[in-house]
Amino acid sequence: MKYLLTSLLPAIMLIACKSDIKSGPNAELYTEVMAIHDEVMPKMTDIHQIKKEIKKQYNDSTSENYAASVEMLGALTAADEGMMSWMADFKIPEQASPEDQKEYLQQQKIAITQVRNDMLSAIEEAKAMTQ
Amino acid sequence: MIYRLITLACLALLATSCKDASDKVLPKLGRTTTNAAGEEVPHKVRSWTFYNQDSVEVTSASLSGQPYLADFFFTSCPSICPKVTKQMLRIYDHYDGRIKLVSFSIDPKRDTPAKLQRYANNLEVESSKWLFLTGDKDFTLDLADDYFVAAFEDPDAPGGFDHSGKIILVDGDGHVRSFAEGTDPDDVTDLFADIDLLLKDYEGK
Repeated sequence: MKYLLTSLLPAIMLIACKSDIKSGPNAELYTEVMAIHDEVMPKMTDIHQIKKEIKKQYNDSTSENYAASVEMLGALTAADEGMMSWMADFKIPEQASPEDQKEYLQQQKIAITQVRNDMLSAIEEAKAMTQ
Repeated sequence: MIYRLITLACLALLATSCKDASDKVLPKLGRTTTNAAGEEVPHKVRSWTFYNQDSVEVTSASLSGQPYLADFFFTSCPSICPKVTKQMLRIYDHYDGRIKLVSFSIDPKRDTPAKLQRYANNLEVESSKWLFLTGDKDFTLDLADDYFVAAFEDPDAPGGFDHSGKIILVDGDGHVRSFAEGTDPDDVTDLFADIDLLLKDYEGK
């Protein structure tokens, strides 16, 4: 019995030491990442609405601005897809050490910040085009 | 004499204050329009067709005549959706098929019927009681306008997918009758009362 407990002890300690990212040492960093996500997630609606507006305004393929409108639609779609891809790929390494989780979150913070910038700049450019 | 009058007044007050709660009628939410005949037409969700988790085509017409609950989500949503799904599951368990749940995916690229089926299986829910639907993304986001616009106080505010996780109660004719913040368990508990009220109109038919 004593040997059984001794052999199981490392496993028990490993399970007990599993880091909960939302309440552990990286909780603040996790919150920062999600805050950026939460800030731009609603912009999906803006992208959708402005794409409709561009299609409505630039529906004549013979007009001189048509090519620019197609390019703009592409940029908006890419920005939207950037957010969807980021979310699909965002997987917290639950079994990793706090140090590895920190590194992961730091990388994700950089990535989601780029997504945010892409979305906001695409929306801003598109709004200028529709005014 | 005065005491008799006071007693009568109190009894009258008691009688009026004990009005049956079931007299409450859920309003039809959203902007009302006027048709050519001058009649007021309440807001209604447009017709739709999607594929469900069993790869079966589902239309809004198939839900005609029965109330349902709707939300908009996607399986890879990292923040709000899991909370809302948890509340939808709570509704699912409580009503056990008495009211259908319908979840529209706004990420059809990744949320294929097969992916939705795995998602539903993980939740251990039956497709006859909870539909997970996928279709054209632009159409889905436009459709969200029909569901969510009724939940905004300002009728001129842009609707659409606001990512707040609202759960919308729809009647058998496609009218939005109530909603709850799906991230707020207490708000969902309040929604139960509206669901019960609406179900009374349909059960026994």
